Amino acid sequence: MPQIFSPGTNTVFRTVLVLSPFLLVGSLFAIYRLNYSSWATQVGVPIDQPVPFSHEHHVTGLGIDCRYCHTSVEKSAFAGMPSTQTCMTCHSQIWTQAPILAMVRESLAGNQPIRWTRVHQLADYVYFDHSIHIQKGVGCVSCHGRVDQMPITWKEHTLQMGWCLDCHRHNEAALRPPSEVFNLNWKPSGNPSAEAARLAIEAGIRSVQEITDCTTCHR
Amino acid sequence: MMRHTPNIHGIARSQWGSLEELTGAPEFRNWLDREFSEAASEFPDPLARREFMKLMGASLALMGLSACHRPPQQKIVPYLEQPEFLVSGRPLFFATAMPFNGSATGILVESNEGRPTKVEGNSTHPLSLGATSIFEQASILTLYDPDRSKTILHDGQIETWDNLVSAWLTEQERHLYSGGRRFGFSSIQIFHQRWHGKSGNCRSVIRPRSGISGNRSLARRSLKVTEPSSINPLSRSITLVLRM
Repeated sequence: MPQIFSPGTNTVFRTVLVLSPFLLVGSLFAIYRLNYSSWATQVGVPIDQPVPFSHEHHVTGLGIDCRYCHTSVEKSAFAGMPSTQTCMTCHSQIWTQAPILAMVRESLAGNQPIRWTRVHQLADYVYFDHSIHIQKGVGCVSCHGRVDQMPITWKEHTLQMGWCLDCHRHNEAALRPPSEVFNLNWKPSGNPSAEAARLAIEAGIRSVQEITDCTTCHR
Repeated sequence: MMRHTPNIHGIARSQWGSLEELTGAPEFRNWLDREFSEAASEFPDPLARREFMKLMGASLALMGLSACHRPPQQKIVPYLEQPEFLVSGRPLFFATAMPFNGSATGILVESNEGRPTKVEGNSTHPLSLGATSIFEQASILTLYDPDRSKTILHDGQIETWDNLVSAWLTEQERHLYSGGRRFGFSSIQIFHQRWHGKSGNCRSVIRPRSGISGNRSLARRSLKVTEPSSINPLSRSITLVLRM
């Protein structure tokens, strides 16, 4: 019976034996890091939309307030998406023949709503409410980034649990006066930490222990 | 294999354990050379055991990979025209009234994106003062019931609206002599079957629900339809009930 293993196999076997812990740890680390890659989180990836809507043009260029389209952001868990009629308040008057808006016109004429692609998607087991964050003085920019500089909207932050908790633990950095919540340009002036402490008391932010409790977000 | 062992005379002598060993048959030689008999170490199948383990191991490992993708892309479908008073994501309450047994109770109906989900009492209604009975609470299922049939069914088979109307007209002919007695057409079948009471004069009642397409106005005209509130739920005179 011929020998299956040649003498060189010993060397190969020893090499593999030495390398295997590194390979194992390395591949586990790679899988772990994959969770935070932009491929998995979609951070910074512009999402294709049926109508190439530019926040940059409408917010920076024209100065339209967030709440003109996202009407329920102060009252409801869901920020609200503009109805076709909302688009047509202006676009029945301007850019009425623009090919880029053909789908909006077809939506109204054909009685078919526009199917936008969701950019910020939370898991169903997360209870998230826009209105409470607005009322406590967390600005839009804290989670959504500089939307006023996005020609096509992308996700600025991972929206992963660790990221949520970072802010719930150190919420001073996100607090601003109620008048500046929708101002994406606002910068804290004077002594930021003293100002934040005052805002936290004014808004009645609960203790870190309370707002990092499991049931705050998982009900 | 033959063993040569010296005997007491010191002369080697052939010893054998079986006739096959003595004759040296090739099958026996083969059997003797193998450490294990055939099929003991390898399954005599084209898909050998090791092959099987390889394939199963690979498919198990690849099964884990199926978790390595992003959740499916969701769509947001806003309204064409935002309904008045509606705040997306919050329920809207409508004040309405439920006709029942000749009177009506004022109620509030909770509605989520157009789907009624819960009946509450209307505290400003002078009769109920905010209370509701089991009938009002259960009436939510006449508005929105995911278990209700979405098509017309006849003996479990899907039927067309036209066939329903023609069957209805035939049945109506048969019941003409009684002036429409013993002939009900309702969405609350259980009521008529279970509740006992005085025999009422129940006329033909048709109540198409919104999910069923068809020429309802025609059906209404030709069938002398009365309002569903005039059904006496305690009537036991109805022999034929069509459920919608």
